[in-house]
Amino acid sequence: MLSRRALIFLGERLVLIAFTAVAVSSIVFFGVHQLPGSAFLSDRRIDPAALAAIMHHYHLDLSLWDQYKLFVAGIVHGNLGESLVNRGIPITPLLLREASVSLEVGATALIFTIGLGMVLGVIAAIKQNTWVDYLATATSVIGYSMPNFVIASVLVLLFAVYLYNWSGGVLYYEVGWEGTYGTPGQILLPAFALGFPYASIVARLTRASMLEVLRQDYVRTAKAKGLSDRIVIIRHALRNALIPVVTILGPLTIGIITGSVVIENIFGIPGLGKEFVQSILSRDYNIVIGVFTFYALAIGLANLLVDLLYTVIDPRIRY
Amino acid sequence: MTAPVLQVKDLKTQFFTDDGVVKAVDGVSFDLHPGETLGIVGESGCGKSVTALSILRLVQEPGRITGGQILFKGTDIVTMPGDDVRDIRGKDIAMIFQDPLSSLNPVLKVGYQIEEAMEAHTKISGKVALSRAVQLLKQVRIPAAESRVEDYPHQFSGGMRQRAMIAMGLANKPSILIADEPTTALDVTVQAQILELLRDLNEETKTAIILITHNMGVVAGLCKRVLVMYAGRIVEQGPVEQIFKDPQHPYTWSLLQSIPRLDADRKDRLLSIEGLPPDLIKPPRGCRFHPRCQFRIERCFHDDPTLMDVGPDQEAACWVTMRRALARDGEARA
Amino acid sequence: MATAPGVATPEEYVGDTLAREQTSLWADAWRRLKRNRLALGSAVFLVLLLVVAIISVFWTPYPIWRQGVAPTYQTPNSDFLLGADQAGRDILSRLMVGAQVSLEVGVGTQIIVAVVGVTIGLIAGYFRGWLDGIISTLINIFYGIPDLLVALILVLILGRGLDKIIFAIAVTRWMDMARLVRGQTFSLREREFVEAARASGTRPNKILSRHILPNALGPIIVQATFGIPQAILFEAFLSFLGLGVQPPTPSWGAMAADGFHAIRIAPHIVLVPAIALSLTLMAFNFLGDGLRDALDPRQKR
Repeated sequence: MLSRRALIFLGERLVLIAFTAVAVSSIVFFGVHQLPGSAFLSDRRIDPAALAAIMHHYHLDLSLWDQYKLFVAGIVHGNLGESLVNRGIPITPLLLREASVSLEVGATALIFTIGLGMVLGVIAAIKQNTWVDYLATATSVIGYSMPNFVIASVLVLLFAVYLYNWSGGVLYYEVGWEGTYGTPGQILLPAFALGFPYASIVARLTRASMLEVLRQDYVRTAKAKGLSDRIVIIRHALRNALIPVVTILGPLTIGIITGSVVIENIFGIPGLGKEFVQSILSRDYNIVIGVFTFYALAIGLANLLVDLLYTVIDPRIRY
Repeated sequence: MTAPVLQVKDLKTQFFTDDGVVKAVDGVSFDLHPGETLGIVGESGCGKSVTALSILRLVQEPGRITGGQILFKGTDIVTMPGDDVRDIRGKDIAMIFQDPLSSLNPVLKVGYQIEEAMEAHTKISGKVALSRAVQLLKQVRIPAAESRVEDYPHQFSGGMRQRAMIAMGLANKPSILIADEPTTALDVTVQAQILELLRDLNEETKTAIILITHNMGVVAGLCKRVLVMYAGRIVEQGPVEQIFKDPQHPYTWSLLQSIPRLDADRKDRLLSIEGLPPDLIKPPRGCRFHPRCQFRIERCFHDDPTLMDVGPDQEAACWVTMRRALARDGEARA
Repeated sequence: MATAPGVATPEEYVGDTLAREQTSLWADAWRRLKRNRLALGSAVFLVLLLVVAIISVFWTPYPIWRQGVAPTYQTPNSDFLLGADQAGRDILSRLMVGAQVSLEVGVGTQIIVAVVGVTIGLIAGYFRGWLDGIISTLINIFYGIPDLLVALILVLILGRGLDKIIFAIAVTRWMDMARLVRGQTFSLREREFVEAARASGTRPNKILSRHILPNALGPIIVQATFGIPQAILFEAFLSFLGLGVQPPTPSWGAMAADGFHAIRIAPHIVLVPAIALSLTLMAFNFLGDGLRDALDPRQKR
């Protein structure tokens, strides 16, 4: 199925992604070593000998350069080291689990973002300059003018407070998270809050690109063939309108990642974003570096996926 | 003579813009007989393309057909329900456009776009559709058609793309093929090939062709009959040979003068018509051509001429006609 | 230049027609903007917000930091128009100062971004070559990182002063402007009047400041208008996470975060700053849309 050239392309890109991840984590490595404070200073009273033992355990007694060499040696083996706060907890498995939780919410948000955004955008384009268009456009401006924590607050208010009061306590939504992966209800609300601002951006972009495409000659050709409006829009217009939308999937992924830092903290989701803020506040710098490494990998893979999607959607693009 | 397959009667298509109502097509009537080749000629903006789009009801907003009838085998397309028009599009009346690159969808295979034209109207299996697409590509003289069906438009040359468009048009064996400036975007040598192909196909399939062009030379290469349009109206019509030999409307005469000729005396400056086509929001009073006409008389300023018999099977909308104009000029010179 | 007095040199002539075109362009844009009620309403709202922010420097209904001026969780009433928070502080007073913080962050960031982004964009677009190569790579790298997280780390390293927050946000948000100006410069430098100026030996810095920059000003203003709400949003995120301006200086994000814990009993604590924030962001976005439509009529639907 895959040609030799495609495989080489894939291989090159994967190496590049891994390289970028190492580079990013290196920058963060040196960055966090500039940070004031330490994970151990907060400990009440610490015996100098014990502190020395801890420092030795984490190789903090070595020079920064030697620490870095050890760090790189670890990272190429997929070992991100050990938590500074919870001694003995290896970071890689911890973050892998948390990443899967974040992915669960993030992917739901992304699907929702693209789905809602494209539907709104297409409807607005087809019904251009009617009240439907104005409503869809207004919704999208409001959408990207609302920070996700504002949307989250409104949702919590609606579901956890008003719905509860209205149903006399029968229906309720509890902010929180059960088990590692939560329940569908617990996933949907944060995913909505996370995705809505970006859905607005997708809607705007889809509307613009759809209007552009609907003016194209090949849409007229498709109509002249006697195809129904539905087929003309789905088969001929939408696919071409998708091309610019795919372009923003990369930035969209970054947006969802940064957004998840806020949303996971609001909804108490045990994902990377919550871990990130917690470890920054507790000065667990090894985890901070680890989270950045994961994010660099995620962004790299998302961009690769975007490039692959291009070749699927637009046959003029070949690598 | 057989009954006409298409009758256009007093067609009016207007565009409702912010600046006013553009009367793009303003009372056009003509008949098309089975297997006939009809040319519609005029400068850009004279309403010839809008006429063609009106026939398939493909005029885009803010344009609307505001009057007249388009009778296809006796039924009026103008008042037909949308679904019935869709049935006719591509099946009975097919259309190909000026720029074959932009007219083909860049993200779909050429073969698929041809198959789609068939599947829109008949239930056929994918396999049958594919073999028929190959056959159609062969019919329009595309070499290695079996592998070419799998190509995307960007992998075709300009001429091949237009051939593919024609194949798509012929997919359902339509009774009418409307070709809107089919050669304008192509190289001169390719133009000739496409015209030859259309001529051959007309003979093979007996499909009637409406050829829309601004180029009188292209009409001569394909059509039996020609309509000359100016400012949304037909100003002259008749058999091609007759019109070429003895044009009666000054506009037709100027168009013919502007065909570059290899055998022409080099001192004869290539003549193009002075001035611009009129504003169709507020067309000039009287004959619409009079502001640009070098043979106009007093009457042309206030009296709007209609089509009148001026020769064998030939009609022109002119108070002067070239016969009298040239005679008058001859007298004046003498 | 040795030309007769009163006779314009070609360069001046070109400059002059350009200047005239520019004035009519701005006049046209102003006329189009005036017709856009949404943009105009947004502008009025933002001016009012600015007035409130300025007033808050000198006067607020209650001291913003004093706890217990009102009963805790007080709902809005005639004494406390927007109620009080969990520490019994007057929300209206805090909201007013919060407006000041938001506007300072938004405008301050965009001033830095404009200076840095425009300079970098002009250099990359005009000189091209390896210089552009380096700058473009840098832009792409910055686009590839999660900006909020980097800003977070920067705030941690630098400290939580308003100036440091502005700096941290600018560091992660300069690329849009740089890329825009680079693109504008790229196409403008091919235009006849720039060619003419170059041919007559005008120095690059003069070409950039006299010919290219004035012509790119419209898109730059639009970009800056869209950049302000982004920066405000960023600060709100940071303070929502507890890493924004140092308390007790109020910020809308921090106010919303404080109120979130009490959303069941006193939703007004979170809703008031949330609505203020949303309205402000919306106003900037509508104004940006209006400015874009006014300055570039081709892009209009």
